[in-house]
Amino acid sequence: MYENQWDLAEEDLDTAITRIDNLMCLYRLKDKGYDIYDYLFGYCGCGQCTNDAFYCSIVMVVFGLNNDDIYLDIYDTEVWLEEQPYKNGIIVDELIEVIMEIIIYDPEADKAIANLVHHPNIIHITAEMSTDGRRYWRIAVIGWETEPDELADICVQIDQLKGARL
Amino acid sequence: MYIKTKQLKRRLNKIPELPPYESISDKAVKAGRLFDLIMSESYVNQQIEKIPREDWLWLRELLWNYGYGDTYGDEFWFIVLDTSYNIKTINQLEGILAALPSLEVSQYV
Repeated sequence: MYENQWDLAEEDLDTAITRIDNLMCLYRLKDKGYDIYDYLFGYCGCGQCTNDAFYCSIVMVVFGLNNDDIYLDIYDTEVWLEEQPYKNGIIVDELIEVIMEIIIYDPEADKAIANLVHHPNIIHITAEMSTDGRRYWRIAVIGWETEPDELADICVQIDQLKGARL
Repeated sequence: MYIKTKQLKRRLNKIPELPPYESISDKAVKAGRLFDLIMSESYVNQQIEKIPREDWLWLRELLWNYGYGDTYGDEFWFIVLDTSYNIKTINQLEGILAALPSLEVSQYV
């Protein structure tokens, strides 16, 4: 009777599981004192969409910023390395094919703090200033393998260090 | 296109109630409600926050099992997806009902 009447598509399955995982990630941030109300946890598992919007959502929650202040891009590792002004100082495992770089415009971006942030997925983290004088964090992490929780850890570390600054 | 509003309202008044959690299929109905909610909302709101975290984790496990060796069988998943579909339909019908013109308006729109 029940056979073939309803079928849960793989896309829907993936979408629902990822949405729950995203939501749980936000709840973990809530447990640390961050306000998560009205923030995005949604995800579309059509196969063409990514979870990038949720990574931005994490940054928004922790830093209290707008979406306009956050830029996320995925790079081929070699391409990304060639664009770095101090390529010699950055060591990337040859097995890492993709890098996710997040730019976060934050007036409190501080190189001294960036140097104190540690996470195994971080390829490079620094604080810089744009040509129009805006300060920003630039965080490069291992692409595809960096889970939302791991980005959340990095952001929380920065936030806590900002709070601990004299 | 003509819509017979009286007829439509009569039909909409017959919207079925979803079975309560206490029924035999309580687990499946609950899963269907949660599944519909997680698929239809994208932002943390009151509806989302009302659901205990354990329930979301329970649904996640169910979905994971569905994909990697289901232990519940077709009947269970029929009820889950049927409930989810019914909620969608009811929401749509209620939306139509709310948007219908008042009774003073002509029978035909």
